[in-house]
Amino acid sequence: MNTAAPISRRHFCRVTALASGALLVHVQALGEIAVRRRDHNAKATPFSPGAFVSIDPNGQITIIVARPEIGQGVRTSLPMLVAEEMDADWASIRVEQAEGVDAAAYGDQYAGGSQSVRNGWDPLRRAGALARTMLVAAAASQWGVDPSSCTTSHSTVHHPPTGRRLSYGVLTTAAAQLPVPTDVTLKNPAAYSIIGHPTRQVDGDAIVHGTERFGIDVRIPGMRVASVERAPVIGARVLSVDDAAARAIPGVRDVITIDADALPGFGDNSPRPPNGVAVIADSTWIALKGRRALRVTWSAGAAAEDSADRRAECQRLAALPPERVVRNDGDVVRAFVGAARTLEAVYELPLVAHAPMEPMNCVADVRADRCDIWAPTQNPAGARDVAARITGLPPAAVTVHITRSGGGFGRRFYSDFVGEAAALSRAIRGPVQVVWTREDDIQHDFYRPASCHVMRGALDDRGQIVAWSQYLINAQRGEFLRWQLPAGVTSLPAGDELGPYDFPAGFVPNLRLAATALHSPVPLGQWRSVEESTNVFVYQCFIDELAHLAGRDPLDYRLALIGASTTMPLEGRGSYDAQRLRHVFELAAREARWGTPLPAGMGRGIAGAYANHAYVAMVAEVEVDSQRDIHVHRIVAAADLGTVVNPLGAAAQIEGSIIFGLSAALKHEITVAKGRVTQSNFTDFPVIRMNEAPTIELHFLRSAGPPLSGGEPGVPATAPAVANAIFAATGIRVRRLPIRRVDLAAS
Amino acid sequence: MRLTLSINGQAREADVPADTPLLWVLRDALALTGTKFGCGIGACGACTVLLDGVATRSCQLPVTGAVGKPVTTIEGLSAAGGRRLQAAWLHEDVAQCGYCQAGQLMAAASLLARTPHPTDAEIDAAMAGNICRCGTYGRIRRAIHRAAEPAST
Repeated sequence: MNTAAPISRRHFCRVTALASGALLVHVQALGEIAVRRRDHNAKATPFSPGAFVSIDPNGQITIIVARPEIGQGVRTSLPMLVAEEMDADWASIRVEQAEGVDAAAYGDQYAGGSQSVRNGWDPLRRAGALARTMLVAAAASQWGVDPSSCTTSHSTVHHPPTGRRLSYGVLTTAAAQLPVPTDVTLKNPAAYSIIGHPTRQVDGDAIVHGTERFGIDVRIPGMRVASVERAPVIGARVLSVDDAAARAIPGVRDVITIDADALPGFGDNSPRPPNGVAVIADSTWIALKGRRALRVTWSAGAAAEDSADRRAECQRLAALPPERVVRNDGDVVRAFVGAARTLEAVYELPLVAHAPMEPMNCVADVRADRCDIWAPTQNPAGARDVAARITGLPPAAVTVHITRSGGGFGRRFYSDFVGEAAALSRAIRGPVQVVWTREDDIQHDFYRPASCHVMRGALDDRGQIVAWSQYLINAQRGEFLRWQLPAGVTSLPAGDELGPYDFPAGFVPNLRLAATALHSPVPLGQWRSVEESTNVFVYQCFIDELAHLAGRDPLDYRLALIGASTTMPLEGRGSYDAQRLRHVFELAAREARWGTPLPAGMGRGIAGAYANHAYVAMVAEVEVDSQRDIHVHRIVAAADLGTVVNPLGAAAQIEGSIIFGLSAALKHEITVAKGRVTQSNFTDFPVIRMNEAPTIELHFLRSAGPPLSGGEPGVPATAPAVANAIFAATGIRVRRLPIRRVDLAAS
Repeated sequence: MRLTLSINGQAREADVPADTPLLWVLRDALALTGTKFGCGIGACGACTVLLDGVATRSCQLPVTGAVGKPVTTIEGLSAAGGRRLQAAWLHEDVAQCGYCQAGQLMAAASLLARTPHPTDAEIDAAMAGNICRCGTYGRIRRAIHRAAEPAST
């Protein structure tokens, strides 16, 4: 059965004459569809396109991707949606990155929140279907037959009764003259030949030959390179600069102080860079040498900030009443009084950095009347706005050239590095590339917030959970990022990073979630999977603790709690299906042969969640050897991501998320001492390497319905699965990340 | 200083300070940007090139150390016998962001030149110096095994 997809009145529909005869289909992220002829000489129209497809008269089909490619595979998965519904020949399509930022044309262009495929699902398929419908109409008209007697495949319209066929290329001019249909028919998923089929990434060839251009590879004529010495202590200002030695180095062109505190406001959710001193040079190496030769005197900044003190503060606050109760079901106090058994445990997670492989960088070319930005950014609109504020130019005069990003993970959502480049280009009146070092990256990140969670659970005499309490103490990223607050609210309420609808909320009769906010100057931001990366660790470990207290199998305990529940409300955000969560637990457990014996020293742990819009569960098999070294041998994961558009790409996202989650589980910790970030490179901020990477087996649940997400939901369950496996292997319950050998020394 | 390098089988001239790491000569002076900057201390492998056929961290090698020795970068890998490895990379759809993959490929090429049929342990030993933040390790391992298979398969 086919699905009719009506085009609403809000859809812009227009066809204009054009000499080239190309057909262009425009789709807005809001679901609006427009058709017009491509006109290279015309000014952009008010409804100019979102993701769109153009077909040249020679048959070349070009699909534009408006969102940045950061390794999540959108340059393959999004065009697949268009190509499927238009029956384009996938092997011959061309993919182009949208140039610039245009909300009216493209809708949202950011990469974040695991939503690119989910939000592109309807509009991009409709774009393809609309193109197909018009091409069929053009062919049918030419043949004098009923359009419904025509079929399409491989960029060709066929008329089976007569055996005639016409390629899309020769139909573009005729198609563009036709009225735009008021609705389009989307395919029955059973007919898909692209969606759901493993499809290799479109940029693979360029990557293996070293010709794919990342932000850091941008070279424009006359470009200088800048390296910036940034405030070593959070918030420190430049008091004086002795740049004589730096300027004496041949090839050093200028030394410029970036007074970030004085730069025009970056706005809501757009943090400034630290104050700094930039050396502008002819090459990266000379810029780096010049920077090392600087002698900068800094003000004290937030020299009192210290991670150890924050941890002590959390422990002190843990004994005090919380600042805010976020959710309160039933009567937790009474339930604890009447409980057969109770348990209290404190979980702690550190600050962590993103550390994408490509360090931050940006090329800015600021002119009197315009500004060009080349940036590996997850947030092109944010980059444009920052450049506009710094240059004083209207946003429309700023063009952001979206390059491929060497990883993102949330770091490139912020435009601090774009601000530096714009400020420096403006100062030197010429193009400049700012290149961060790895040390800059580790020490001037916007870190995942550290957090402390006081967990309390109460069981009845049959071991069932009758009460659950989570008390979160943390500094909140929204405060650092100066999120816009509702009128009359002066500070971000505590508990913003709690998951008030996370499992087991709704399954336990008495449940209280509460929080107290710390106030810290440490830069904070979103980190792949955001608060789910901490909350899921805490609740999937604590439920393991309760299962153990109850003498129950950890899997059975979770499944019993889920029971027959189905729709679980997520207030204001729809709902999730508890049975889908059950099914990923069951599938992961079955494929991992949960319950079968393992050698001594090894254990299995399970964890799972509905998190970041999808359902993922996994079983970790972990060995703790006689030296107390931790070896994660195998992870068996099950995922329900809804319809999987590209199984190869989606699997890559889950596999990669597990490695990413493992690095946080076993390696990552950022600490601040006397206002300085202690770590500086991959030596003291290590990540999982090849020799430490487990075998990953991934199973997708067959799922109809729209796509859910892919980039993030594999992260959260990883750390708790490993921690629970370590408990199973050793009997030692680790409640603090990262898990280190020393944590397993005493039992 | 002015010096002549042998890059991907060609003589290339550069005028750079003598202490410039080969990485920045490739990227800034010779426009060979396929070799990537990742950490600057030889800890991540993104800058890996072949020097005399052996995987070398170009961020740690002063350019003078490369004079008189053949250097192969990712741009020259196909011509230097790497097509099979690159094809395996494509077959396994290894890359995510792709930034580290030039270094991974060069490290793998160096491994296969010495050890045509590596075991998992040998792959671990050879590749542990190359970080991938996207977590493509499983596919890298498969691609290396695939490239090491007999040509008939």
